[in-house]
Amino acid sequence: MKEILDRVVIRSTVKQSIPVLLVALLLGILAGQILNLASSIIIIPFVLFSIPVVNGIGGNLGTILGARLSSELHLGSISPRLEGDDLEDELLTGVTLGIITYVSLAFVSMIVAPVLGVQMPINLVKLGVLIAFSGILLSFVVLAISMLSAVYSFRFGLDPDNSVAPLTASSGDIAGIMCIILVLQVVGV
Amino acid sequence: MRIKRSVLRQSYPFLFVTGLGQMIAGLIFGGMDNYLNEAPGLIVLIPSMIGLRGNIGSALASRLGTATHMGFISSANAWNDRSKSEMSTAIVLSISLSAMAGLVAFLSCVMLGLDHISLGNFLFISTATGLIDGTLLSLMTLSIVFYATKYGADPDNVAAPALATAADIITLGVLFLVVIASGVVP
Repeated sequence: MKEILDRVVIRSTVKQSIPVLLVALLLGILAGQILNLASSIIIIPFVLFSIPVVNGIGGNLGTILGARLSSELHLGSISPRLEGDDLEDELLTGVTLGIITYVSLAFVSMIVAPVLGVQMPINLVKLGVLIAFSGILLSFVVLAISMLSAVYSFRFGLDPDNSVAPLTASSGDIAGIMCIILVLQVVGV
Repeated sequence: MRIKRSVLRQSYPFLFVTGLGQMIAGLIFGGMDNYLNEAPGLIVLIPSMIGLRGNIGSALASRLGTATHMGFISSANAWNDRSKSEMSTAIVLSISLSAMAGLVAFLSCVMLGLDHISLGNFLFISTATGLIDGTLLSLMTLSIVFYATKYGADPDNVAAPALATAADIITLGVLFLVVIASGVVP
């Protein structure tokens, strides 16, 4: 009996996870090729250092907003027509949260990264500017993605609790890398 | 419009701490610059390896959490058939999808006509990382669920966020070691 149960558990998990994982894999390779094509400005210690910081926080920010929007859609305090004061409040709160988090982490990075021995640009401020600006830019993108995926999932009858997190996480990674490249074009390496 | 202060108060500390964790991942990534320069195409693998591990790990965390709530796993009985089969599923998924990531990374470099390391190197690095990393993270997930249950915390609230940050750090660390061991960079 136990063996049958275990086999059923394994088979259904594998079957249900593979499509989502394959999509995540392909989006990941796309993100990887963008890094590869921009390798002349990406493979530099302080830029590499910034990537997990910017992308990690971006993903969490999107997940938090996505989860809150899903609950409010279920509860009916936000209408699926993309309107209402509550939606505006959520977005404003999300952007504020993004700005505060990225600016404070940018300052911490400027202290922590050189101490930990990451090879720094000649001008340390560049690291701070890169993390703060690409992060804030990414906050807007990620919040837009999670808002649209929450609202559209709900309209198409999908439960946003299941769809928002994976959608935001994989597209957020690509968006994060683009934001970093964009800011690097302006600030220079 | 108004800012929801309670959301800021509750989420900011969490985001800040995960940001500090991401700095450790950044430290490892930043230290890989020579290897990434010497092994063309290697960087293509990295986002998908990190992403896969995050997905597989958080799915395992929530499945083990559910199994705990249903009474299949408890702190007194954590290492049993159910938890072992959940963990072996995660490890099998981790190995097979990592191998696939290595193959797709290689093919995408060939199609775009970009410099790349050999298919063998791509497959060795991705599969070995998937095996070691998948095993480490599965054991870690089970221990987080075990300790959460033991101290009365709901594993659903603790395991996934803790794992997401740990997954980035461990995956990059293991990948770095595997790249060194593979000898792809002399």
